[in-house]
Amino acid sequence: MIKTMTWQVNFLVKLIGIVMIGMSAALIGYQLSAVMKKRIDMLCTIRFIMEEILNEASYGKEILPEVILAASLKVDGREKEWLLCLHEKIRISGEYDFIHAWKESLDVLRHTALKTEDIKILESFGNRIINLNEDRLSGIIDNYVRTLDEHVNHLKSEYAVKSRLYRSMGILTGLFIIIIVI
Amino acid sequence: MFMRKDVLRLVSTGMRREFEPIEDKELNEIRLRTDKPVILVVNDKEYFLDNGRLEESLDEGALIVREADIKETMEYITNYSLYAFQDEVKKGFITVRGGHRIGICGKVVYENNDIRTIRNIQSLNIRISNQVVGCGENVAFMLQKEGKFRNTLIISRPGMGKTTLLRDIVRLMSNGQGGFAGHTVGVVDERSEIAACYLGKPQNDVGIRTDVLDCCQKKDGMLMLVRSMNPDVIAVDELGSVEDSRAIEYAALCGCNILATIHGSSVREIERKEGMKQLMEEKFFERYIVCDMDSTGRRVRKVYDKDYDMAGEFFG
Repeated sequence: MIKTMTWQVNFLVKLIGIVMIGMSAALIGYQLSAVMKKRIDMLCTIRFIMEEILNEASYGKEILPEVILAASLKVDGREKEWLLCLHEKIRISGEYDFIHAWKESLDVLRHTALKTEDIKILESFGNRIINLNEDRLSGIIDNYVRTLDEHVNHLKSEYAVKSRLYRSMGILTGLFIIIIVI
Repeated sequence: MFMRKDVLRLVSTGMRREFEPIEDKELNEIRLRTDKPVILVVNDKEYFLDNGRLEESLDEGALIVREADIKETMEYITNYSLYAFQDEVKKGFITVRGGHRIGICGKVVYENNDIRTIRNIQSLNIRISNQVVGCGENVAFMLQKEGKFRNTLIISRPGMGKTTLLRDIVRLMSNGQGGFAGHTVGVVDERSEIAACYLGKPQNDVGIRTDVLDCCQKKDGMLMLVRSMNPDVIAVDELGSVEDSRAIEYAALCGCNILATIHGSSVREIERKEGMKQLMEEKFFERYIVCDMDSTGRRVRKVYDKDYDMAGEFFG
């Protein structure tokens, strides 16, 4: 009886282990694809922010600190934190160099789903939007919006393939480990 | 007392150290020209800046303006947003927080015979705003009758303080001080000199009952104020054209009283001006204030009635 019970306990433990390994491996796969999705979402939000900056600047003729604040009201999460941090640094003109303020505020976005190449795009955007007349500002923002569109479209097509790959790999890895363990 | 923060913040960080110790009590202007020495106008006298000290003569140690200083100063002036000040740049000046006015010189770009913009900016003239609160108190009592404001015209040559006086009279009327009952005042500030609005907010104290139309032409602004803001008094600066006179007549017909300024040195001289003939013949203005300086350099204000008889003379 004791032998039967030990065998049953062993089996139960192994079953639980198999389920946990399977689930965690699958979850890792899902997590990787979720991070990709999050990155795409954040880039879309940043694109929206760039368009908002253009709208507020072109139609309202608002100064950049007010434009940044207005844009922050229309987004949530880390993007909002970033814009509020930037606004706080630049709201008093002459107290802070804009380019440094922009660069420092990007720290808020560094440990998120965005990658280094995305932050670099943002950094160069901030360097280029100051001290421009309306036409040039409009041209530059349009340019960046187009660049972001291409970037996002490329990531979306990658996501379609990679998300399936990550999830499948997660499940397969789980199965592989289970087989080895068993 | 050191230079005010709002003035200090306008100039580039590299120049700020030199500016900081300057007492700005009587600072009128800061002139910045690329590759030329900084010139400060204090009490209407020019000085160079040498290691934080004001010097009357130009020495080797004088602070020289670099092109980067002008660029950085423009960034602070426009809050990094040149596009937001395009209309003002076209006019050749920008008004900033605090009411200071910055004159701009560079390459003028035309489009269809109109000025499109000024680029390659190489000179800046920062004119420090110094509102003289109370300068209208000694003449205020002469400008009203039975609680109503008398139509008043302030006449002076450039630099004699007519806009400063107009601003203070607006403030007194609006706040109900200086013997005035509180009046709703509408200001058409065509050149942003009266209220010195920054992003629509008056930077000078123009009173609690004052509405300002900033950068609006007088002929349009007066009609807009009459139709929408119901002012008791409309204040405008530098009358001149026939359209201005017509707008004044319309405003008066709608029950508004007028406070205005005009370039000139005497009442008789104004009579001969094209746009003012009819108004003067009709004795539209009940009071004329002529601002001038006497032989000792003191500011004098002579008040005349509608028959051009002197009603009072004030100094300071």
